[in-house]
Amino acid sequence: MSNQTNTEKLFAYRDQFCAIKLVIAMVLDNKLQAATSSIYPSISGSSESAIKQRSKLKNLYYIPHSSIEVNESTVLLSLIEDNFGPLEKLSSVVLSDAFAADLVAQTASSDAENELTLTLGNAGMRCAFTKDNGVEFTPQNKVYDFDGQAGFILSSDEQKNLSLLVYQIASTLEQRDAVQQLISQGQASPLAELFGQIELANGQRVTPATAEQLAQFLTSDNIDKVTTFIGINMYKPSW
Amino acid sequence: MVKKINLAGSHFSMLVVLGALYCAPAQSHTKTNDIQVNQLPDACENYYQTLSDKPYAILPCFAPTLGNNRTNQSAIRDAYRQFHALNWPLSDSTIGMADYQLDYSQQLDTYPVWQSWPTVAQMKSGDITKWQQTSYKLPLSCQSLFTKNNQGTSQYTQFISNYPTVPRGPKIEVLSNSINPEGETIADVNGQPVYYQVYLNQPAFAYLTSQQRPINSLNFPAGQVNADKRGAIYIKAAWKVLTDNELNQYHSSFAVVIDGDSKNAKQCRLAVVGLSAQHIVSKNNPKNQPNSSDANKWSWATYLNAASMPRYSEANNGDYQLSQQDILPPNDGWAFFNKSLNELKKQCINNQDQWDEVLDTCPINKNNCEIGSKCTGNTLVAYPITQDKANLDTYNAQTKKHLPSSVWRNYQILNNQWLDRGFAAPEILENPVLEPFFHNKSSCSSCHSDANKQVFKDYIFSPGVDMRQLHDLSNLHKGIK
Repeated sequence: MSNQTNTEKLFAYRDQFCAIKLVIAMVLDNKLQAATSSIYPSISGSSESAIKQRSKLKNLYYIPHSSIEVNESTVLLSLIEDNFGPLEKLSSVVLSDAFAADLVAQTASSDAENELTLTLGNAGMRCAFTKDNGVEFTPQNKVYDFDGQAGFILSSDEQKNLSLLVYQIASTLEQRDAVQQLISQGQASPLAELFGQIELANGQRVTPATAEQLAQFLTSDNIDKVTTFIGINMYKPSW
Repeated sequence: MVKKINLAGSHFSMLVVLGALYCAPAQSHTKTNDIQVNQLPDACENYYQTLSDKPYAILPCFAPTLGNNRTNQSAIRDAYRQFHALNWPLSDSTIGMADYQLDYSQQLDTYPVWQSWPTVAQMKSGDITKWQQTSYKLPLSCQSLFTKNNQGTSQYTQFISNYPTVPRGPKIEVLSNSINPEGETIADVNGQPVYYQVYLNQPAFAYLTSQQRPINSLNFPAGQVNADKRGAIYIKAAWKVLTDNELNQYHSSFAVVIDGDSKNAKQCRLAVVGLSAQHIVSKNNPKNQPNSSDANKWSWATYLNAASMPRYSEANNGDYQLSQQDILPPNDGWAFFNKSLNELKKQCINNQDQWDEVLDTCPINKNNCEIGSKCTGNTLVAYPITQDKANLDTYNAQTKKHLPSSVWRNYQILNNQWLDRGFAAPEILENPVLEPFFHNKSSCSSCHSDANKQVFKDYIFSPGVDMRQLHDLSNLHKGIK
């Protein structure tokens, strides 16, 4: 694989990582979520006002709140150093303008829930649960039909905790590697146990039920199901 | 002789009409009129732009649906917005029309838009058949209260003159139903029962009146995202009789209260009543997919006056507890709680040292009122809020911030239950005044699914149609949950 391809993949990875960070920012600050969601009804269409609101959402909210200090993510740091070698002065990364514009466009869509479920689910799957930094990850393009499956949409508190768990795993090299090893070995129970042990940014842990459900999905080779599960439960507490 | 009361007119002056049937002339409904009566976003200038970035702003308009991005946060936000929009003062010209010129935040109390809507009781009885109608039958036992003497006054005019701050509108509350969904009745600390009334908005009213009888099944109009179209809304209000000390704590209204059951002579009295609790049930969720296991397109937002009862707190181990701090009463005491903590500890703590409402000795959230007889009052305690607490706290704090002196600042959103691909969020939701004895196990949507058992009534138990006008289609509708 050429260096250029690697660099492109790195920046694509950065966008998905930053999208998860944006989710976390809104999960941890309900006033930020309230502010962004109050803009959504005014961003559809081609009126001057809608264009202005979309620009506001992208430039004043989505991009700034997607910022990740590179040093706060051992995964990101190692990726950057693999590509560019050790850097003297590292700061932060944010969503690219194009990816942020995509998020805004999806938010404005009448099919926003499905589109964002896929975007966030793919981001979570790639950054947290796919080996080799998700190089071989194939994004899902269809939402899994979970109609009638109780518990697929978690309670609002568990949605938040699941989002925090995904970010925590995606940004911590050691945890991510341990998780991915258990996934590759198909070990659902130890995986659930590991999820349950991880202390989240809000001081909580996911419940055993959530940990077991996620572990079961991740080890069952039903990629569209787990992508939708992660995506919808990240979308709901944040958007 | 039929006696009808008409409180309509530019200044809502009261007129008692004897004998002939009186109906206020119906107004023609232009599109503009519909938009304004339904408080749709187009009735407020630059509605969406005004609210962009201002999630807590209060306007007389509110969105017709939960939108394209439906989350618990946005459902709570919409519960906040619809509550304040519907409590906006009524204009003096049109039933259901908000006074868009008045600053709601500066009013001490309002005669809210929804209180001008027809009630289910009036629909069922056929007393109100036109939206603009403001005259309706009063029960015989109440009529003498409005009979004027030689001086041109009545018991009613004398009564209301004692309460200049109580808002008046085109209709007086006629309260006789004190039976809750559990088939029980509750009473406040003064032994006064709580009365229930259900109101319906113009789209629900228009839909019902347009249906050919007998009705095979009901399917109320839902709000539409892009068409600026309001769906059906039902509001259920729980009213308690107020003491003079409580006037500043509640949204108040004049009412005739009818007590007694079929065995006992009905007695009618004038009262000032206060809003204890409220459901706003709105068909605003058209995106709940039709192929889902539960295609319920309603949301149930529920509200409570903060002086109603104390709330359990959660101990570190997750158990409910009640401390002295928890039961500290507001200025004029709780409406449905007046026990001492020591007394309750003796009655409600089990031998594992846990609060246990199930104990026979424990009076908390138990029915102790016989229907139709005198009652000493219930002991109600609300359960801890466990879902969406941060959002609910934020919106409830914003109500207080925006309404520095209004009685509406004393109301809290408990949550707004909606269905997401057939699943209710939050899963459990009950209002301790409206559903007091379910012990934190009931859900608005699952309970209302029962409304469809005999005839598909679109999840509404009492839509305002006399049951004799509905076909029994239980076989035809077997597939509909």
